[in-house]
Amino acid sequence: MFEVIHPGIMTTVQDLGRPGYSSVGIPLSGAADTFSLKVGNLLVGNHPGGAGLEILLYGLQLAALKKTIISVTGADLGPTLNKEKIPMWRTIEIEKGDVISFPSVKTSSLKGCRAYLTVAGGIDVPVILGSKSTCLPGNFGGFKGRALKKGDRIEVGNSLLPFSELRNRRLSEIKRPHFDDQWEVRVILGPHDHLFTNESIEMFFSQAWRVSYKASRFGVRYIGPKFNFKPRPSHQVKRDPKGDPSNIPSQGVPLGAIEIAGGEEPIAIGVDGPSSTGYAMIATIISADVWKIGQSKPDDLTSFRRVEIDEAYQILIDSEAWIKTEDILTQAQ
Amino acid sequence: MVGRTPLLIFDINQKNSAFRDSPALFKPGDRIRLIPLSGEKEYLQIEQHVDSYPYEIEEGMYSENWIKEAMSV
Repeated sequence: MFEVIHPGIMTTVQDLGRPGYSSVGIPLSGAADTFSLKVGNLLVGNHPGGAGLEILLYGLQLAALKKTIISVTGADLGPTLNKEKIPMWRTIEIEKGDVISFPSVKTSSLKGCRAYLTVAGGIDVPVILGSKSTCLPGNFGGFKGRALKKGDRIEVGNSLLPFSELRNRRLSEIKRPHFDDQWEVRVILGPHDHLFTNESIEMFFSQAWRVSYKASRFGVRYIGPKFNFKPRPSHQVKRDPKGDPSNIPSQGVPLGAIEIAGGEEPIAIGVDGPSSTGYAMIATIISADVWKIGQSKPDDLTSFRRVEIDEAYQILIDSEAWIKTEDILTQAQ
Repeated sequence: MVGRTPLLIFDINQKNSAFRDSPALFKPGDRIRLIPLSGEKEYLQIEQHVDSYPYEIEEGMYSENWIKEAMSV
């Protein structure tokens, strides 16, 4: 059990999300970087989809009210335990009264922006529509449907393994993802690439896009040149004579879709994003790379690289097979 | 606004069996009948027991006649 001394910029309870409700307007939610949450859960002996805390940048301070075992994965935000630096991607024993802090740091020096704190037994909150994740746009799920606040008491479930088996567990270094302030994000073209000029599609793939300050779990906006569209299809002109060429009949949005609203500032749709859009989507981020937009922070640079859909499936299969039981090492470093 | 209902049409807690399959009461193509209440007392009474309210939901077949009838009322 933990008590929140300071909630930080934004700390939410997240698991792997709440799939299947897009048709009724409920976003996926869940960790913005699912790989880091899954590994964090495996380290502390939970199922990979257990609920942990997603921590944005800095400011979180937690007091442990009970002896337990935690791990911190994801971006290295410089967390400390009683003011000593916590090593990432390994288990840490916590005693009653210990204080875990994410101290203020210069964010421009960080690689990535979200860390995951997992605890043996998982964060204990009610399951709503099959998930413990916080749905911030809908104010439900997670801890009382909101980000953590000062004074909140966070309950923890029962550990699946005895603490003696969880000590000194770590993820081997070669298996850790690479965090940077420059990202290469792989996409498949479409569904609306046919509406853009060939020059604009080439420009989309050759440009280094700067992440705008408008970056959140909802989506990430990028700064760069404007896009041009082919002459509008006749059915669209008939439907809406004065409409913007980026307008489409509203339709469903897949996670990771990159929409070009008004022909400028591409928006990559994140885990808390909308379920439908009326803007042309030039490309869609492959499932295995969606975590990169969850770790992108303002001023980071991003380039988009095109892959075909068969390759995207293979990358997803490979990424899901990336962590095997033997990669969780038990001997101390 | 021409009226309001004490009933839930969206419920993530799915307490009433009408929400067993989905947190949204309505699906595209559903037809909805609106019934006037006698007044505030009845409204509040229904609102109080909304989780056990017996929604009257019938399976039906879509027909153009139904649309014509509805439009002529």
